[in-house]
Amino acid sequence: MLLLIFFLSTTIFKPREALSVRLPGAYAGERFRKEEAIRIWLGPAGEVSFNDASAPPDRVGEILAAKLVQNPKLIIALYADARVPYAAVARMLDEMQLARAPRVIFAAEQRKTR
Amino acid sequence: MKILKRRHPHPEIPLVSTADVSFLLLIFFLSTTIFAAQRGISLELPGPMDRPLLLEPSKMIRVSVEADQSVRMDGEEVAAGTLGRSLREKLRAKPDLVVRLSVDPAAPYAVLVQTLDQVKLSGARQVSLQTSGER
Repeated sequence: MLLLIFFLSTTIFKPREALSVRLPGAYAGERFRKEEAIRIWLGPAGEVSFNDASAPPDRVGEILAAKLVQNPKLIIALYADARVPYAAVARMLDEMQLARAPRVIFAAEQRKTR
Repeated sequence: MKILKRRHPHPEIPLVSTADVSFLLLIFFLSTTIFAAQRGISLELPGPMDRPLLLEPSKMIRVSVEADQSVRMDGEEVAAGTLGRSLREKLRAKPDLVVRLSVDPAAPYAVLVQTLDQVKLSGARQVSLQTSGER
């Protein structure tokens, strides 16, 4: 019964994401909690979504800068689709750099066996 | 005259089905719950005012990802799976070497992550990723 109460009170059902992306796989990598990061989604056609709400790509730097003023140590997690050309990712990295973001994490699906 | 004493039935809530429902709910949560943690490859970003890193060729290993998804190390093509091993050998001799990763703008993001993954696994301490401009 205690277990049931635990699950009933802690379970949050995963909301439908604004952009559907296929993440690349990686063996290395560190764990991070989704709640502790600003999540930027980059779709296969270059569309951008900010914490599950779509945003114009040219406003990413502006939105990020405003959030980083409140918390300069905020982690930025980039959920880019595996098929996206690097040019779009580089543009995003430039925006992050201009917004003075200290760190970016390239979100990836964990691969276990080599 | 015999007065019959009315017997009040003892009220009861049937709890047998509650236990069944609780058990089913518990099984559901136990089998469907995944704890929300994500993994990713972390990279520190330079500040906008930081000067570009100028390195002597002898102090860096140049890894490039081409548009056709091939990977080159110091100009020589390497198989994607062997990059980590080749880098590890070079880093064993000179642990302070900086890995400079440049990626063709047309190359898919998956190849960048795959290459960065190999670089991280090789134990490289310093990785520099070209974001824009000249390669």
